Amino acid sequence: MSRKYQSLIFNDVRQIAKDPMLLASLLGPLAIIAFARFGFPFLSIWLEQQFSFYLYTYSDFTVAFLLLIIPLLPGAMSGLLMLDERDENLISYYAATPLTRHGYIFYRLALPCFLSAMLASAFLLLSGIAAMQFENLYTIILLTLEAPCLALFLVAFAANKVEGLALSKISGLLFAGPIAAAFIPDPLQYLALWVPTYWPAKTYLLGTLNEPYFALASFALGLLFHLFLLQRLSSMYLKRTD
Amino acid sequence: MRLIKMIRHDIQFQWRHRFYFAYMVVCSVYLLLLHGIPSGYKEKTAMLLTFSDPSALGLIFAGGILLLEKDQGIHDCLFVTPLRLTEYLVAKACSLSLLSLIAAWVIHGFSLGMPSSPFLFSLGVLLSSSFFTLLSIGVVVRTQSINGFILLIQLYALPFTIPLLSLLDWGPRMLYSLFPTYGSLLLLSSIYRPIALHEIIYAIGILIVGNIAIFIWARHSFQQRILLG
Repeated sequence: MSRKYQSLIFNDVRQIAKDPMLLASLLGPLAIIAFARFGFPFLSIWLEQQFSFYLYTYSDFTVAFLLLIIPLLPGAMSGLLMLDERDENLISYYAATPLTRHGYIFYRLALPCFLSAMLASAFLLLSGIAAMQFENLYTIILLTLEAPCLALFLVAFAANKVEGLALSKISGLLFAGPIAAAFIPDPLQYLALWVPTYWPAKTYLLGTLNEPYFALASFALGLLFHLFLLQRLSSMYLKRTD
Repeated sequence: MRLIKMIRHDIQFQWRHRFYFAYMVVCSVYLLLLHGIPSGYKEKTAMLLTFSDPSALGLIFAGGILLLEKDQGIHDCLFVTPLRLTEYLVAKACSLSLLSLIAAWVIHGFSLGMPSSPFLFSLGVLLSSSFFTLLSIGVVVRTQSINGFILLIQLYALPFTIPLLSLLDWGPRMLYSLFPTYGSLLLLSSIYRPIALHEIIYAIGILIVGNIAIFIWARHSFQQRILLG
């Protein structure tokens, strides 16, 4: 690992003790995994007894929905951290070090990507309600890209942390992705194509329907869309920082 | 007069930082969601949404505003003017409560129409919103960063969500009645059921007591940690 990132990593590890949000982005997804593993069966029995509602009918949707929370948590956290650092003019200091501004962005986005990939994989393996299928690999890749997309969306459009909070409120719209992919009938569903979270959910759901070619196509389109977003948002962010 | 100017300034600040735009989007999503809910559950869902979002919007936003003001060094300049800390805090609570009220009315008005008791509904939203805003201010002065604040506020706000269990008829009512937020739920439930007079008196009373207590705590915390810290 490059030496220039070492001081940032040490600083962040120290920060975990001081700023428990970093720890929360780890514990939050773990709590989601625990809920899917232990809470979901309990909840489904309760709903069945109380309301004759069969939650297991919606387990594929539940997986697509809960999986989405995993990258959104570190993504939003990283975006708000970058805004905090920009408000305190720290980014100009980082830019003047061997780290450079690009290195700073890379570092800030790499951590949520890594966390998303690890925790989304853990969810698919350990939740007990996810389908074991090859398409999960596509889903993990798309989910990994969700985190930097959200972080960059916040820093590209928000002038400061207060606007970042307002925008993170709007980013609740991202939950529309899996809802559209699971419940909206076909021609109308295409209205959700511009929602980034539609693609990992759709890819996962197509996998559960035994549609390997459609799942591959969905992954390919989703990947292109996410790369396009990353490119646009990072150039917008750099322009704003200048 | 100073207070009114401060409230107007806070509203302009919130407008400039797109709070109203954000809530326009959020309200639209909630309206879509309520549209898809079966009519038997719509009222209760609308009440829960009103309690958890518009009423509690100050919980996150007030803290964010204070952190930004701290970074910009506004407090040092602000409190050398004749503005009093009480006016500053009341203005924050009033301006954010107004946004809460507008959002709550939009959600309710467009999904269920006029609340059966508009006065109690509005009072419930306003008093809950000011309570959460002041709680947020009391918490944010204890943190340095936005992420630290977001986590800490969850811990402080969590006990005030306990009365939500009353909707599932879990546990004794007496336990819930200790929380001001039980008063919020009672007043907001006026949208789908008539409330007895003693419930109205209790709900308004506990919310006023809760607001006063949290105001004193927030004022003391701000004084100790920002002005004297």
